[in-house]
Amino acid sequence: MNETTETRIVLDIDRCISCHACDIACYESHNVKYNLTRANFDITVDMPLHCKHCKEASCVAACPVEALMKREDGLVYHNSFRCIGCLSCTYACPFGVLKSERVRHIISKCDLCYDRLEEGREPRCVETCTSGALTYIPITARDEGERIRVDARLKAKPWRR
Amino acid sequence: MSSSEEYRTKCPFCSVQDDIIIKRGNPNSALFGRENLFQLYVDVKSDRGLCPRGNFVIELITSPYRLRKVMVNGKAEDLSDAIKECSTKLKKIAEKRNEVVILIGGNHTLEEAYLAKELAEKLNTELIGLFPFEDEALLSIKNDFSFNEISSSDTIFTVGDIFSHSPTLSKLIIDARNRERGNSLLYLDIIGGRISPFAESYIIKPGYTAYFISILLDYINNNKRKIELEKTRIDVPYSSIEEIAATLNKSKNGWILFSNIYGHFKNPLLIVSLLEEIASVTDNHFAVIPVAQNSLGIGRIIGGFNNEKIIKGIKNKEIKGLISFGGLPTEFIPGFDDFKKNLSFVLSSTILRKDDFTGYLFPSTLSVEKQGSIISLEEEIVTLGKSLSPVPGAISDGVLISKLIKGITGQEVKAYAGKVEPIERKSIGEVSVPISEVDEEYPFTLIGVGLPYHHGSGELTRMTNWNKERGGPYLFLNPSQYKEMGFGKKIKIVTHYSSSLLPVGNLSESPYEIPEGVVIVPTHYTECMKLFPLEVDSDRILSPGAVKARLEQ
Repeated sequence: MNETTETRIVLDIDRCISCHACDIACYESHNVKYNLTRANFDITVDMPLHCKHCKEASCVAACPVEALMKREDGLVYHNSFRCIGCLSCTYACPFGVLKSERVRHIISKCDLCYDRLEEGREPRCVETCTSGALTYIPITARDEGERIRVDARLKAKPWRR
Repeated sequence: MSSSEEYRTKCPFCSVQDDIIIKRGNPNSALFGRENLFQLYVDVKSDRGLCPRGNFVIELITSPYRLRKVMVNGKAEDLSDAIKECSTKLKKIAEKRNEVVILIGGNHTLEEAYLAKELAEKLNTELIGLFPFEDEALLSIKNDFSFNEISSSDTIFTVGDIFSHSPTLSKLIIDARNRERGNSLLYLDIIGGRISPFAESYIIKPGYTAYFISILLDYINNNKRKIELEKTRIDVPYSSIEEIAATLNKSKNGWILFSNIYGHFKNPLLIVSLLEEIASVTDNHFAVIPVAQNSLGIGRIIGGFNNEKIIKGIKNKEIKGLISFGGLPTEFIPGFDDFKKNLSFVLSSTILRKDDFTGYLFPSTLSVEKQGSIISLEEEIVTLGKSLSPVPGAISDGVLISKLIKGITGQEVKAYAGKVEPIERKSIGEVSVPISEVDEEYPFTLIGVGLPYHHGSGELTRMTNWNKERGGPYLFLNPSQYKEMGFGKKIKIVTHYSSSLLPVGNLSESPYEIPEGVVIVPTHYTECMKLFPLEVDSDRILSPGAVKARLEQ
């Protein structure tokens, strides 16, 4: 048995009311900067898309300057001082959650509000979620098969609403 | 050296009044960055989160656009000089009865409302009104609301898109819906809203809501009118009446909720009266969710339904002076620019700069920067909590009113808060069948909506970075109809009252179902609000329903 536990932001797509509270909370708490991507596929789909902080993060592998790194606590951390804005990570990300900042032309991504985590609080988007769609919960996978199933849930297509 | 400070207070933006914590870092810290910034937290007492508007609170507190000086016709003036000038002018105008009007926003404390009423007496006027105007229709209702009980209810019947107007109630409502198999969430509106995907939706023709509810009431009272709804062009079958009535009748702990926004429902006063009666007959609870934080408290203190008289008076040149506390009249009175020339004196208080304002403009405070009491949705008097110190130069409207009273009478007044009860209902008249005519010149129906990430005042919306990036105002219409029309990205919208050139908004951000022939606009913007008339002749409440419109490329 190879049991692993990682705490992650999980979106319950059956509860999201598309109010944009998470979007704005993220924007306001990161000094007016977008770290959260939105899924906008159809007129009925408008919900947040978070970085999944993948176990084997392809964005980390693709970064030529080591601006992205996988921390011990599982967080895929972006060092904005190292980033050169080559956008390799945005092409590598299978979920399309990484994007370029408009002003600095480097990428922006979810940092799980690690400063709040250190205070024992939840990420800002989870704290503010009005409908209870976003939760920050530990996800335990006992083996690789279960990990795939858990990953599949986390990566659930937004149009499955 | 002071250390970080914590302020537990209430969110200033809507009647749900969520508990928030504002933490201020050490302002004397030598370190730059997070160490000395404001941080916003949702208080654990509130399990409801915080809506998009609430998340702007820090940005508005620290906004570089905050008004910090008294401005007279765009020029800075000393506070005491301005008070002296205003007092002299007001005294002169107030020699005749009802020549000054006072409009007070719903985001004030009860103490400020009492002071405003006192000021009205000193100014020899009974014309004191509440804005946002759509909240006036709710003042005669004794609110039967409970945050704890609503999530355990078995049936919720909401009229109006509560998820867009008060998103933090969504968790309770979804919890109630999901708690047990068989629980019901019914939704009645004129366009599909954010609540649609979660509810049994009944989308009826704009302007017909009161009529539809009257038929529902008759059905519940066993006075079954044989009306073929299909033929009345309400757009729903008669079976929907039977379904709603059956659900309400069988519920053991049901709630009927009403939530409105400017330009949305026609006859709101009639609608709330009918809904209250339905709740009483079917033994369910009835609650209204006002737009502004303390509308219920303010409106009950100032008393009466005066908005119609006020607006008519201004239009007919019977009013000489206008005082508006907590908002610019240009923002909340449609077409104000057209008849402000009728007024010889305008005084307003606001939190953000407006350099081209004609009249006296006083720098005001957000409710997190003042102390006092407000009325909760549960009809309890609650205190705002610990207040932040106002930005330099700004004074709360309570202080401003006290200074004005002192300037006018030479007397000091003391603010107080007392018991407030719903005001007496005015007669609502008979329910009549709306007249629907096909207008070839204006084939579209224009409806006002509230989007959750915009503030009630376009002035605030325009000053936040997020909204500035997103742009606005904009219009939304049925996506397939838009495609068919082949119009470009900007469309001119023309009504009997005005016209505006607006870009088509991102349809994924609009309420979900827009019937063909319907155009919707967020009414927070002056450009959108001016498309609607100021009054309706049917029930004299300033929240008109559908407006005929045409679209031009």
